Amino acid sequence: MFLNILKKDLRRKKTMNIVLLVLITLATALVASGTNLMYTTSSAIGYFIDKSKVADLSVTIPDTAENRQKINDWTRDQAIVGEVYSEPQIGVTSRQIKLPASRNGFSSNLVLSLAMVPDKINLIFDQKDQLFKLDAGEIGIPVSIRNATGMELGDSVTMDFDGSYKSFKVTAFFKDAFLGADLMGLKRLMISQQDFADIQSVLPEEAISVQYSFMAAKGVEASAVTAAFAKEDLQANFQVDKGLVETSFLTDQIISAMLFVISLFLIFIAFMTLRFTIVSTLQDEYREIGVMKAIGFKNGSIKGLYLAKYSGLAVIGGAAGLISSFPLSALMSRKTAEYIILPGGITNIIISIISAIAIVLLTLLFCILCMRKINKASAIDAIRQGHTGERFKPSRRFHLHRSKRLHPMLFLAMSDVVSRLKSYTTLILTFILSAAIIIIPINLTNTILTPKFISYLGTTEADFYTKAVVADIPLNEIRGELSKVEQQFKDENFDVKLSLEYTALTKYISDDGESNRSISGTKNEPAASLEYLQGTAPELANEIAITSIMSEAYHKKLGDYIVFEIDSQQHSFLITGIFQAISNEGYMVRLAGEFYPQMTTSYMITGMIHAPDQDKAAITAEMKRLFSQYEIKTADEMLKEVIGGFIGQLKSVISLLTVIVCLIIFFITSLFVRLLISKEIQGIAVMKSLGFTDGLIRLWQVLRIMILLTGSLIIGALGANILGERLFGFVFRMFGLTELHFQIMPLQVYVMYPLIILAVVVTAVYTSCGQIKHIHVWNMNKE
Amino acid sequence: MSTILEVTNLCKTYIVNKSQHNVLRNINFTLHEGEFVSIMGPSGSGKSTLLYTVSGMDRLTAGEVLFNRKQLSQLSQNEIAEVRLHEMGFIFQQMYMLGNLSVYDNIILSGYQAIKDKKDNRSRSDINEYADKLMRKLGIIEIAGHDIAEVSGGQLQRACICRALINAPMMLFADEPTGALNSKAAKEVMEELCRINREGTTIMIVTHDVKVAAQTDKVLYMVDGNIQGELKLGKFAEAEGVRERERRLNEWLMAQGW
Repeated sequence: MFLNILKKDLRRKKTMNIVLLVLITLATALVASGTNLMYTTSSAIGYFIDKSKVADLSVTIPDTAENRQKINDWTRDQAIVGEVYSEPQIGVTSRQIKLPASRNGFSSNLVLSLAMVPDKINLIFDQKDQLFKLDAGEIGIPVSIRNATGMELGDSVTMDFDGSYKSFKVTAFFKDAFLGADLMGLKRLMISQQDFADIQSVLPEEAISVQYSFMAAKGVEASAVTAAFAKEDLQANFQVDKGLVETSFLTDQIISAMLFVISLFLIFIAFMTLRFTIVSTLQDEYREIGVMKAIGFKNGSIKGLYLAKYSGLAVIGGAAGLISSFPLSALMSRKTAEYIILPGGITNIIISIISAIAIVLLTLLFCILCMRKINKASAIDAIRQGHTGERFKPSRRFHLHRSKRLHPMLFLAMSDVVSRLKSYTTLILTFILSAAIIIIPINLTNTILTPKFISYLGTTEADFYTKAVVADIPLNEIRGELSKVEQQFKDENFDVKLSLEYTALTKYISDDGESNRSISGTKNEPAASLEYLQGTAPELANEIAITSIMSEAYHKKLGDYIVFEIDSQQHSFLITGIFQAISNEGYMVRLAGEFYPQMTTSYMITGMIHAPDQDKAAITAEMKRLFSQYEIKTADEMLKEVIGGFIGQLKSVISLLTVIVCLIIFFITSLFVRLLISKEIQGIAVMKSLGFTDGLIRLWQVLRIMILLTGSLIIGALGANILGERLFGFVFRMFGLTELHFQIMPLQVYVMYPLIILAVVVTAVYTSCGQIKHIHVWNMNKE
Repeated sequence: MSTILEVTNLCKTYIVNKSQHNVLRNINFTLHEGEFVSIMGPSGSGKSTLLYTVSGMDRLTAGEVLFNRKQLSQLSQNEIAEVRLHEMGFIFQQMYMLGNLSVYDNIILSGYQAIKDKKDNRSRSDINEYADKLMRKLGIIEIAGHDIAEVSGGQLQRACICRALINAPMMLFADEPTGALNSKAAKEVMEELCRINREGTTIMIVTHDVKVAAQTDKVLYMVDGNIQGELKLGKFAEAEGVRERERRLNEWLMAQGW
């Protein structure tokens, strides 16, 4: 007989049972893929670095006999260095590389080197996560460059080595843990041993450098190798330690953190909705349960009946959800998997299975909790659908007759919301979280895209920039270059003010010599007006400004003295200003107007155009045409080149988020409205009998949800703006920015995205209101 | 007296499990303004279906329903809703009201909606005054601010009558309005309906109760979707006493097979 009751129940309440089944399936799919993604993203970078055997310290130095000797001596004396590997490299610039016409060129900000595919340390992997080899004439390109240039397999790449041309065919795009992160300005291109030897033979000896990679001895901290190397008199062209490699993946970690938050959001919404639906469907069954009790069924029998039904639904839904979670996880982590090796294996599958089992158990738990209420209730209480009729406070706070103008439907909607606010918790939380989860990354993107952000990268705000020249050049020579460029601009009648922006290598000398560190020093000639968190710009030769991160790390405040080695001479500087910068993990100094280093390590020319803002784009375009050799860029272009990959990823995450959030709010709103209508059949039937049209009843439903949505969006947007700033302030601190204020675009945050959510919700409500048409006055007698 | 409701060859058919059920078969009758008619008959004879079909709540399958010179079958759902809002009132056995509103707000709700159309020139304060007047007349003014869960069945049904009358309808449809009430409350409700009818409102009521039907002008007896008979009792006056009318009705009903 139980079987018969069960069969009839499943047939009779087909819609509700299907809704519940779909929801359990969705919840399982979301939770299983969410937890899977959480595990993957939180462990991926560490896993990738380990799998790639990234060296504890890698330094690139010119391949001279003296340097070789120095390295040998140093490693022999150091007990902390376990293994040493060396491999030759050839430095190339973007101007030497020619790509097919349809591809974007290499960014001039990249420092490129040619190397052979490593097989012992700093390993690289192809798109199938396998080690690979290259034959003569073939070249391997890192994925980040493929994304920036749009290159495809089979493309031809030609390089010019002092008039000797060499062509390669792109046969591999590789994942590079060592230098592959977007934030890493160094990139390596892989060629075969034979091609490397051919190129080496046509180049002078000084064009070849060597990359030494050190692994710490067993039981020694990786950072100890870097600290020991800093004390030596060895000037490396480039130095990358494991810490820097980890930091270079921060943008990916931010993306991972966002995906992590999305997963949490999905899991939370899934649980809330599951609970809400089970409670609602069981409430609908109270009357039947009451009737069963009245005719003598025992609690245990009733419980068994409903548990059997919900167990069936939970197991079927859980299994379907688990199966669909695998492609969903792959879709969500697809972008990350392009250039990071994700930890695969059985762990992911186990996590997904555990999540699915958890959902099945939770469904049953919610069911048992709801049944407990029925256990306590008498037959008649159950028939009254769990409502005893007792109430200890007034249910109404609004009175229609006191309102002069309020539309009756708006009044009904407001009255509903106020008197039953608690029952709308699921929907309110969904809306609040949806708004917050979209707005936070938008604010973040806008903050990064503001012109001011470029100053955090160590570059002054300007209308245009020439290409950065990375080379050791005496200061006098680059001043000469500025004069030459100024004359050229004058000859072409450009009304501009040019400045020289250069960097010099400075080395912080700590009191005990233990934490010496090479730090980039920047300077503008003439001095630019820059922002300082504390103090003022350094002017005299013995003054300097340091970053807030350095101030904290070295315990140096305004007015303190700090020692730097510049041009092989130690200087003691008075700190006059503290600023924030994002590059080099926030380690940077600004040199004083009257301090002149002899050698510079890089320079660029920046310019301000004396013209109205609206004309600047055209003027810049003209400059680009006339002075193509300087590769002129606007501030936007400059910013995109440096953090374009990150912005691209952020925008993909925002698009993914918008789609996921819209789907979720559509589904939850539809489900909610359908459940509300099914509970309000009597009320709707009465309203119809009173002459209210279907349109008016739909309006009531829409207005009710709109009120909830409006309130939720306000809370969500404000929360996102306030909490989001704190959350990402913490993240940016890791980059070096100690004081970050979100750049909020009111039109986007308060108008555009809320309108998108609003449109989705209104569509969801309207499409879910179809049931209203089929409610008739005789439904008043049915529940 | 002019005709308010003219029903010609009305048929209503339901299809259940692929088989056809003729619930109403060629129904013909006419109602004039100010009349008070009751519909009686065994369960399943089609009484409620007739009430809902002639009031435009349900679509007819064939025939014509002319209400206040309007062919209901030719009106759209929105036009029918407008007719219900301005020209009809409904009372049901289940005294269902909106749970989130007070008794008073339930009564004035459709009044406020009605004056949003140009057809009704009253203001919100006119509606409030009219609601006060109706509630006072029906003796429920003291429960105006109450929640619907706080009042008795009789009070609630009287509140439902007030709600049905708030837009001063030409005709009132009542589906077993006393069915869920005790005899005292049922008597009070019937007294109100008689008074409303005396004031000019046409009423059509479905009932199983002989005492209720005896107070109406005319009784239609339905069997298997047909009107089998019609008994004209004439206007009921308090003075004449209901017993004689009940006796006449009982005899007639027996003859009909009641």
